[in-house]
Amino acid sequence: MNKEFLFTLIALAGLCVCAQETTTATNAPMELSAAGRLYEQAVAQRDAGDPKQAVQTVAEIVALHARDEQWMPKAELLSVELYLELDRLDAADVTARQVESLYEGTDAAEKATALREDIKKLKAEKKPAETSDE
Amino acid sequence: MKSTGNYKWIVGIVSLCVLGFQGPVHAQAVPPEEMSAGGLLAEATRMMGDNRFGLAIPYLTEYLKRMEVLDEAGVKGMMQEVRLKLAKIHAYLEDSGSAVDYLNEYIDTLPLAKPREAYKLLTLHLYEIEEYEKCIAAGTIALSNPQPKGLKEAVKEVNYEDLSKEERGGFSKRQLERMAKEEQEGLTEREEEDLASGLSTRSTDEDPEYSLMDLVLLNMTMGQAYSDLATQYSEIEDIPQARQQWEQCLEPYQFVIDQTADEERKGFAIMQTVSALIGLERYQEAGAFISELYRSNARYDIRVNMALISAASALFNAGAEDPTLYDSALKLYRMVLPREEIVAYQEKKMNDIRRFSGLPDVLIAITTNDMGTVHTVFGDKRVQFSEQRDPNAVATKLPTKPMELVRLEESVATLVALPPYEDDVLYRTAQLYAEAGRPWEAVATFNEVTRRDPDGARGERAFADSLMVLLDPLEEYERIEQLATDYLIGHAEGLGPRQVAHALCVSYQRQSKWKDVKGLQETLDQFISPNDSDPEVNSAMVKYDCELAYLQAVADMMLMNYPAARTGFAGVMEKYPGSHQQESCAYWHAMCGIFLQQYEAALAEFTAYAEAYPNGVWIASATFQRGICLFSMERYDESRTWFTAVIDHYPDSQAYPDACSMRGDLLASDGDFESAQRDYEEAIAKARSARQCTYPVFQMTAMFELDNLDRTDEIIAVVNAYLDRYGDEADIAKAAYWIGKTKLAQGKVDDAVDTYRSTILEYGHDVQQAGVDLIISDLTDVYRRNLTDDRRLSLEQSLHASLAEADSETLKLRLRVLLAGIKGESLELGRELIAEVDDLTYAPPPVLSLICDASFDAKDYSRAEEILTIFRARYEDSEYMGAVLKLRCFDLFGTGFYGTALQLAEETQALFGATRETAWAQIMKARAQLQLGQIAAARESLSSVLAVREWRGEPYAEATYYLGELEETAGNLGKAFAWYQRAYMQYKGYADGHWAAEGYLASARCLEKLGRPGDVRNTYRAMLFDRYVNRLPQADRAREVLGPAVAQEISLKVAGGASTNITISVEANITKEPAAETAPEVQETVE
Repeated sequence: MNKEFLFTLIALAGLCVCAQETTTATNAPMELSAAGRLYEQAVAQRDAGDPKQAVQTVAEIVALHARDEQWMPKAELLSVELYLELDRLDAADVTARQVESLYEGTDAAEKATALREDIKKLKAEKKPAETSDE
Repeated sequence: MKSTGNYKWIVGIVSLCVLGFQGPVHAQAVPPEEMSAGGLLAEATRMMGDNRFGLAIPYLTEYLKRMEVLDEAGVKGMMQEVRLKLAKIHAYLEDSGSAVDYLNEYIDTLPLAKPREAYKLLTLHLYEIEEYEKCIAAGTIALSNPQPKGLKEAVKEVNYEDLSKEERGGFSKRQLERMAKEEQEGLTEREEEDLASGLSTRSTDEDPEYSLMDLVLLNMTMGQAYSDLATQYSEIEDIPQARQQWEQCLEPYQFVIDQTADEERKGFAIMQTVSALIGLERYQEAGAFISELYRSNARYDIRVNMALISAASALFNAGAEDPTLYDSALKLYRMVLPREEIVAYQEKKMNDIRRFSGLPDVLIAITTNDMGTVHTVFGDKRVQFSEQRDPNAVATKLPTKPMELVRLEESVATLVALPPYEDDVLYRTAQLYAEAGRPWEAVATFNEVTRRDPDGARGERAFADSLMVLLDPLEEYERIEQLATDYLIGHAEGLGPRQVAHALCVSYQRQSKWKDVKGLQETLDQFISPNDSDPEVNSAMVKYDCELAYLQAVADMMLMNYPAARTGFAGVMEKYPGSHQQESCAYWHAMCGIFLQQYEAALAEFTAYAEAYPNGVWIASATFQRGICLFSMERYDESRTWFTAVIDHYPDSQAYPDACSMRGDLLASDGDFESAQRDYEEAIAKARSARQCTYPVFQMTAMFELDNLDRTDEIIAVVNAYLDRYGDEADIAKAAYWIGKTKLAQGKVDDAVDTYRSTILEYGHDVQQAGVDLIISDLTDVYRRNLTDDRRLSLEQSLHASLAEADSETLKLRLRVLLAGIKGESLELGRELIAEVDDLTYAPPPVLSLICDASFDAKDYSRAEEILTIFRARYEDSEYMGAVLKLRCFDLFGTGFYGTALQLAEETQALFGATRETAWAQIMKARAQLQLGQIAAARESLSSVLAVREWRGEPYAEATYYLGELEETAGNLGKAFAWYQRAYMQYKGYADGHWAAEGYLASARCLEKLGRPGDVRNTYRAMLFDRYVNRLPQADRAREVLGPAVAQEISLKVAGGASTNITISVEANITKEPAAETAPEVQETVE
């Protein structure tokens, strides 16, 4: 896999998360929902270099707060990014595809589409590398 | 022309008019049978006016009965009205069956004044009574806009002048005409209002065209009838019919979707369309409708929610074929609203209606039982509508509830009584994440299901499922083991512990932690036998028990504990006859026979398997193994038949390339190189992996080498083709080994040495490259046999230089082994390495073998277990494994683990067969048997050593000595003496006289026990005279017993060239003699 590209992607995804955080902080700095608190926790875990723990925290949002329309799209996008960071390209792709389907016509869906393009490239890069390793 | 009928009809009209405009006149109830026709209609009208519709029925039916015989057109018209009214009343009372009967009667009778209304009602109520096909037929007629029939006869004007006074009911002719006129003007409007209206024939021309609402209703009903029919056909698996119905329902639903203004109705139609499209497997179209549905208020309809679950389930099931369907299914699952949310919405809706109707608000509470405990949602939950009335308000009679409200309340009651579908949805969502490939979401969601229902079946199942996701793809083995182990401590009953144990077992299996799998046996033994009241759960538990027992047997097999594995597989077949693992057990049971070299028995089992499962999953392999059994029994022609059978019948099987290889071997051994080559080439062509290809490639190269023709080019070609095909996956070092050999055969020694050397340097760092080890062995021989002194020196210098430059510890070790080998210093190197190499994991098999040899020589068993573990984990097929098996076996024997030592000795024999290098295993087996008190078995084992020609020499000496020891232990001192004597008389030249020396000492010991001190001394004397043993440490004992003077005397004699012919004779009755060797004949002394 082109690691440089992956890191760039992750960094971009991080910026996206930060931007979301800022927006959240501006709009509702004091009263985060349970899903919002978990989301912030996941971001902190990721920033602390623990994407594996972070993806588990995000998964809790998806499992427990699936009806939270405010945080679910963000959480699922974050999940895509964390799977990418963990080099689980298939999981990242499936999650992004489901974000496209679930939030059709929204910003989240657009971001998911962009991420899928990146994942596709990463997969294409990874495939020949795997073949040549064989 | 008048008739009685006309007369009664007029009476009816009169009565109706009276009732319609002047209110009820009957002060007391009169039985219908005693009332006039007019009275019947009047009474019926009065009842309906009071909304007591049920009470009107007897009057109306009596009226129909009374008028049945009349053939007058006007009466017929009135009777038709009565029928229609009765149909409506029954419909109102939810007696759709009776409504349908009256409607059919109405439709089949003339005059048919209101066909549109009748067919509409008939369609609706045929659907209610689930007469779907008739419903569709009626609906089709309704939508064809049926016209009234036979009306002209019925609209006959009444001539009031012809009526009698009684018939006029006290009214004048003019009054009657006026009343009739007024009635004609005002009745139509009232009739349309509700059932409370009276009866009239004046509306014969008033069957209005269907309104849009009517058409929506009809289409919806038709759609539902088609849908329900489709479901019925699906249930009986008549798929073509089901598909036809699904197809048919689309149009009416589309009409509803396009035309209705009611958002909920539209949503329901969309939902049904989605279901139909799913039934038709038109998933993409279904997906488009789903998005539309999500935006409508229909989501608050419980029917829609139930249909959502059903549709989601269908999409989920189809997801394996098209993963995007998982996305549609997920969308649907997420659309399913929790019960509370639907109830809240319905509560608001109900209160809106109530307020509009002048009723107080209502609070919906889902209550528990009297104890305040919700035992089950089925039994104890109930809905309670508590009206919020103002306590200070004066009690007044409340208005009647509108039908819409009544129906809504019923719908909410149904909703509350439903099982906890939210948990089902959550569980299915978790499954969806798992299947679609969002593992962490799956784990979190399964965990939530478990949290909600920790002790319930679903919760336990979710826990086990989450473990399976942690297993695959997450590979969180430690976490699985922690969670599962903790859980199993407190759970031994029901399905949950079995599922968890299964997940744990599979986790161990994935990591090849077979001992841990076996460690679970104790936990499994604690499980309480299946005793659930639900037969399905019970059956699932039995299945898990069977699976777990099967995995135990598999673990035994993987641990090479083949007897236990056989017992395990047999146990599964016996305890769970006909189970899902029956077939596999039969196959693996037979395979254990092969591993135990019990070929005859294994052959019989494979034959039985083939008869029982002619199309079984293992049939190709079983056929192949039949060939292997026969091959192993040296019945080569028969074995070829089975290899050929695999080749002919199972060309697509995994066994096919192996069968080609095996038949190639047979053909090659017969000298038919051409046919063999064809088989090898086929095996290579059809090989499914590098491993499967490697065997025929190198067998073929070996065959080429054997061929008298110079086929070196072909060897090079086949090896290069193999390397090209598999690249890094190929056994490159082995390929290089063959290329080197070929060069040697071509006389290109320097090239060969260069190839070998460069291969060692290139691949020597990889411990898994077994070919490098072959090269080291071959290069050692080449060094000794083929190289000039200069070239030797050059090679040595080059190897030393490479050793100095090498970074890889593995490569360094290999180079040192090679250098020690060519210098003949292997044992010394081995001794060095025992202390030097801490981490043995990077030592390749030859290095480990060297360490084992040196350790054995030094009787240092400290690293035996560690090295054996490394071999088992990494080099199970290595030819170097013999050394570690020997070391560990002696280690175990020395520490008293005789049973394990016995197993290891048997394993060695199974792996290597009866070679000279493994003779020790047979003797060790006997010694262990002896220690375990298995005297007869030990005797047989030792005797069999003397029957193997390849073991002549030292193994014979050792076996002979131990036969003596065996008889001594058994108390047969005479026999013991005879074996000991044979050891020192016949085998003194082996093992530097070790066994002869031991034989002398043991003989003396026996003679001492027999009370023959003279013979004891003679034996010691003979020992000191024996040049093979008299310098060994054991001879010190003879010197000690005989004393210094005698020892000195003998020493001088020996130095002078004297020898002895002292022999001792002891009666020994050796009854069982080995086949190839006669028992030692105890000889008499001959000086």
